[in-house]
Amino acid sequence: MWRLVSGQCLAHRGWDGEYVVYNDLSGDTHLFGDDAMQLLLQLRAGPTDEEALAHALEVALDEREGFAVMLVELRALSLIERV
Amino acid sequence: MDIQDQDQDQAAGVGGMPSKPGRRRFASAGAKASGVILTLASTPGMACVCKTPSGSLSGNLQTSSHSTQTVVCNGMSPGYWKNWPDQWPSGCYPTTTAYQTATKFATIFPNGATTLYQTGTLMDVLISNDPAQDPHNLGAHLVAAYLNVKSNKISFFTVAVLKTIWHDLYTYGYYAPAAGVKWFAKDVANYLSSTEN
Repeated sequence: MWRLVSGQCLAHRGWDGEYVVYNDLSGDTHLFGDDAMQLLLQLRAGPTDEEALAHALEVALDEREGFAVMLVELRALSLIERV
Repeated sequence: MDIQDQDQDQAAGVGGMPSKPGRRRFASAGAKASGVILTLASTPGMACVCKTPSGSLSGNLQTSSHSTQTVVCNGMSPGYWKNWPDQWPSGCYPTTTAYQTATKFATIFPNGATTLYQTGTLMDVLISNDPAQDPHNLGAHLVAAYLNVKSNKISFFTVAVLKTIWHDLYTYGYYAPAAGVKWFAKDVANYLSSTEN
């Protein structure tokens, strides 16, 4: 099960398929693509297991490795966590 | 721009992915990055991303068409340093021998609140799994971070930064990585663990 890290508000702005996101915990500012932003917004709606998340985001089988890498990347930025 | 302002109208909706036929989605490498593109750090050392094994297979975590900067760290975990004392950097001693005394935690991170912090060695702190003596394993992650810095496995923060974090935690109860942001012991432990492979 994955969820947003407590305290993250996901303040963001988007331009042309890219999104600037403020990290409330680190104070950093991130630039994300569509997929990462969709993933974060999905988790903002509530904790979700990886399968359900992949289904909600319509991740194809051949995209699953990239999807898993993205989860690890966002976790490393303290935006999401596994529970 | 007030970065705190939400701009939901310009964000992609949760319910449906933008339709872009032909685009390779969830690509962490390639001409068009779809995930994490780059990070602007608010405080040196507080935003680095460790390269993970899976990430290393798919490209650098902070590589995109917008930036050629690559951030790599090879920080090791408390478990690694506990099990590989022969890999400790010079000047750090895991055990007491005829030639040197084991390095005490308090010589680097003084004024801790628990007996372990006050009298234990670096190795004692790594070994301890007592949440009463090392809440959130903060001490263990600090020791790992210290050994990672001393052995040049990570370069994006310094021993001085670690000491400042420790000082602020025991003095104020939190560390502020950026204005208006408070990291408590658990937050610091989580951050430090994210710098470990």
